[in-house]
Amino acid sequence: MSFTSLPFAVFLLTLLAGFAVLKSREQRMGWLLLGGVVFYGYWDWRFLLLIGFTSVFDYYMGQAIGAAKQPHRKRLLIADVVVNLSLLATFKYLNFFIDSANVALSAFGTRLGALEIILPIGISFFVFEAISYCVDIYRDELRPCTQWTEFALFIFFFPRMISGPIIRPADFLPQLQRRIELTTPNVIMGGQQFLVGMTKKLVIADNVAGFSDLVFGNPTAYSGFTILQATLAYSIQIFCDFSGYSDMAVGLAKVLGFDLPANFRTPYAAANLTDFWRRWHISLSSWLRDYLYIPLGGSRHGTLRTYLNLFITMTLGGLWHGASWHFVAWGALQGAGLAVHKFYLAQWPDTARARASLPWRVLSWLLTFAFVLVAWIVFRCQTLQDAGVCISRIVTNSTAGIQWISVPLLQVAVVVLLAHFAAAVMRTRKPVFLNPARFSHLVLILSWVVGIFFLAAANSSPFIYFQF
Amino acid sequence: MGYTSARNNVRRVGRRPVWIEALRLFGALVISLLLWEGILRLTVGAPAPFVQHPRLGWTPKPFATGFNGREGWSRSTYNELGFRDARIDPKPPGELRILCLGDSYTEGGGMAAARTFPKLLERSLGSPERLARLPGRPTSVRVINAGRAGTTMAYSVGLAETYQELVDPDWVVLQVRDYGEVLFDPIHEFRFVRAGADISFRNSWHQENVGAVKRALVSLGLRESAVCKFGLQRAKDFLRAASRQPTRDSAPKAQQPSSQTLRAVDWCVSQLRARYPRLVVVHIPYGSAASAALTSPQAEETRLVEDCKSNNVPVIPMRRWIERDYAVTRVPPFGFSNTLPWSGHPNEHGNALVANALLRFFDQVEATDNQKAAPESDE
Repeated sequence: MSFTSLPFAVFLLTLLAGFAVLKSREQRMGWLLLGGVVFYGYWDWRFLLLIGFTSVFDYYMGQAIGAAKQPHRKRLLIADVVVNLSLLATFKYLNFFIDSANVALSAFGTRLGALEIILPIGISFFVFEAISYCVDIYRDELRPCTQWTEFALFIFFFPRMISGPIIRPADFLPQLQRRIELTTPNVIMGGQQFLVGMTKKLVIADNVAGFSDLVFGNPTAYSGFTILQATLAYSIQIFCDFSGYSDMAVGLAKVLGFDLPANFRTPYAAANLTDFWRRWHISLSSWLRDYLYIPLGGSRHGTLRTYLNLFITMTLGGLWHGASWHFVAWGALQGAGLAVHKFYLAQWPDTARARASLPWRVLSWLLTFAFVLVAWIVFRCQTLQDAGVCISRIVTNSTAGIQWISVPLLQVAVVVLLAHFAAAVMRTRKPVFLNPARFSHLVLILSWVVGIFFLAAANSSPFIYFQF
Repeated sequence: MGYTSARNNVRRVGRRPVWIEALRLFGALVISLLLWEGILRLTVGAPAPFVQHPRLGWTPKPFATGFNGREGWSRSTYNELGFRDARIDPKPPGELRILCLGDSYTEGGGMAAARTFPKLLERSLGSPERLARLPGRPTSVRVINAGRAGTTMAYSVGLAETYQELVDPDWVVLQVRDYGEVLFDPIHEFRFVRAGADISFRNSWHQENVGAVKRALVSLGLRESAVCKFGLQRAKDFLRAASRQPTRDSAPKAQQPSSQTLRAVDWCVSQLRARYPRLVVVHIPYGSAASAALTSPQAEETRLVEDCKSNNVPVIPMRRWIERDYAVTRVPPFGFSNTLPWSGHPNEHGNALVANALLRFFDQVEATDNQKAAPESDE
């Protein structure tokens, strides 16, 4: 059930009501676990089989790894990673591999049949979290859970089950040791963050989605300038959709008394691509850094190997997003971009002072933003051919097709970018929150909620990252 | 977004009685709705209030002004009959008067009144060269925009005598589209009713058709507030989206009309032929944003054109005009800068196309009349 749906409202109210009845920590943990099972099973009860298996398998593997000595310890870790990745590969990528193999096999007049496999929602997220649990135990950074319910709640914690953020067991599990309770400050802060997420998703993302979906659904019917606007629309859509979901997830967790990591930090204010990836989908980029890039060698084996590791990490990160070559291409593009940036910093270290000047920062921001926009075209289009059509029409400023100016989009783009820079500037200040105990704040909160009702798109699209 | 503990920032207030809390909540809600009333009036628009005209039904209040920002951006002023036009005086001698009936496509609430097709037609026909060529050599031309948003061609049938009496038109242009089940919608003051396999024409005024909620809102004076109008429309949109029906601004789902709908169309055309001596029908199809083209022709459109031809009613199907124009110009005739191309109502380009099509029609009428007149003049 989506966070913005009526069934979820009923679910949440029921869950919170349970806290009034159940008093002990164990009871509340069990209640949250049950809530997670219901939440996940609501999408499709069959999905529970796989995630249930993961919660049991990785719990016992974690214990085994924790108790084992080398080299058996390493073998257990490898086995755990292989099993988890095999699950991911089977359910998410098998048909992709088959289709790709068929391209080669067609030269021999043969092909493999595709399998009818359902894609369990959120699999990319909980598999990564299960892997990080066992790896952290292996690295002695974490002690194995002593109770299955604790690990199960880590996997079944519903606010972030479907689209993240990817939480680290070392950050989450200690929170289960303290009292699980609803407190007024947490409910207020969490509720406010939930409203922020809801605004981003329903008011901004869903409204600009109409335009971007229309153009990207039929790019050959539109001029280069219209496609450029649609690209801008998509960049706003994906940011507000995904960060909106993350805000809702973090806000919900806060209401329940848990702290989840921030997943976005004004990414479109990034001055370069490396900075962008420290601000965008932070939980994924940090996971890839800690569990893929560093194990590959990171930057410890020379310059060329560093670039290669970056490229591999980001390409696989692209593949993580979906079983399609355009996602792989997007990841490869990001990897290449990061490698180029690293190369530039290495080759011209003396430009550090010049880089701090305002004209340079503006230019750097423009180049980064332009690169990110082009990459979003590759990400959004269903095929690389469509992406090529879009990019060529923009670059050549093709006037073939509908020439359209979407005034609301341009207004929203200005507001979102300004909000980015304002938030980046105000980051160090104490956050403002609205306290419903004060009448003026209550008016603002209700105006906000009413505003969401008036401004939300009637046809709400599914969260983009649900498909990953 | 990171948050620190807010414990120190929370003002500890002793528990208030429930009724005080309820009052606080109610008061805050009222103030927030008032705030949004102001915001909506400035941005999305303050629609003109509606009243019950004794003869024309539920129309915009005479001389009221409305402001629309949902689709396009325009201000609409209504005359004494609730038409988006200047006051209608008794027809002076020498005036050629054309009455344009239709729905919101004719009213053209998304753009300036001067850009709607009736006014474009008026400007074109009113040029001295054309006036000199028109039959009867009128000294002036008045094309009246009598489009009424939310109506169907059934209204033009039911109000034919009233329009003739109040306006005294020489020609009537009737803009129609595929109405489908809307012809049977009980909210309409003129509509059809199913009685088994048969249909019958019904007239009931607005107050008899609205539900208790709307009547209550009217009695409280809230019905015409921007919050109420926009809020009710949003609620309908959300419900439609939830039940996967098209929203107000989208084209109706393509489905074959029922046989009763087609019979309603047959009946309307025959009645229009009888009630309007000089009539031309303009059919405007729907646009589809998804396909960046017109929706496929439906049986209702085909039936309307056939009925008009068999009843000797001139008909202009705009489909061919739009397709030919788009193939050359690539300018969508539907959609505004704050909506999507090919969605919603005809825009300025679309209205110009309709005006051109009508101009071509009146040129042909003029040519036909001149041909008929030629033998007399030769004598």
